Amino acid sequence: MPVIFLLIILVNLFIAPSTFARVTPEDIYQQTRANFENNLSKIQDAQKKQSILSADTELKNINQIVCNRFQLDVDKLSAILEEEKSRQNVTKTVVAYGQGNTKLDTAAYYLNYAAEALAYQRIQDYTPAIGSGNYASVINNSAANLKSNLGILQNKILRAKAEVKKAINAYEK
Amino acid sequence: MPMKNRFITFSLILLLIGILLFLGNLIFNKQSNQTLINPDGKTLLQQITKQTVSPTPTPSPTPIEYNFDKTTDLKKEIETINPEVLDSDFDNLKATVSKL
Repeated sequence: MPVIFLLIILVNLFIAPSTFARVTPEDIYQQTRANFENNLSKIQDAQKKQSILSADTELKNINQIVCNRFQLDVDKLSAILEEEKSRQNVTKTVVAYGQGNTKLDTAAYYLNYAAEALAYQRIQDYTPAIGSGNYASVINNSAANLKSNLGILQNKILRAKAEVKKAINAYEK
Repeated sequence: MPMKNRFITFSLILLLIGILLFLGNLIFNKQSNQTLINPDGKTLLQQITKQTVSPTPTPSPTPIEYNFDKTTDLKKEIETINPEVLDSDFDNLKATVSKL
């Protein structure tokens, strides 16, 4: 028994823990872009190539355009909430586990949640994985993914709106 | 064989195993450092160190300053907020895809 114990200790002493390179979102982005560029260079048809490039740019643009629009909504919600807080002389926001002490606090929590989701969505990448050959289908998949993610974000903003509305209704007669 | 000798023999054997494992690990690590390996042990990201791309920066909208005061009807203002993902947002993309 002591021998086994000693063996375990010795093995642990000598084997350095395997260190792996951490794969960051930036690494994944670079890899996806490298694959995209690589697969794109293999396409002979110049017109097709151009269309794929345009679609790739278009996917990025859609994400940014919709996020910009949502940004205005979040900013306005934030301004409304701030105005209500100043009317009620509230300067602090106390939130624990998603539940604030007051309706204003809860609204602030959900607004912050929506703003963070928006910031996250803004940096998402929808580069089409054009390796398989059926380019239209691959781009449509990316578009569907983008639309779905934007829909989720929209719901988060709507939730924030509902919470701000609840707070306003509670204080404004 | 007395207990003391047996213990020394075992210790030496274990030390030898440890040294062998250490050397083996050293050699293995030298080979594996040539590529980045993800936690699943699959080779990944071999090309990224060669060339990296940066996403094109897109301008953020100029923040609008809302001048609400005590006279503002906040209930009315909140109803003007309507976040939506429009089908028309995807029109240009659809036109591009139709060419493929």
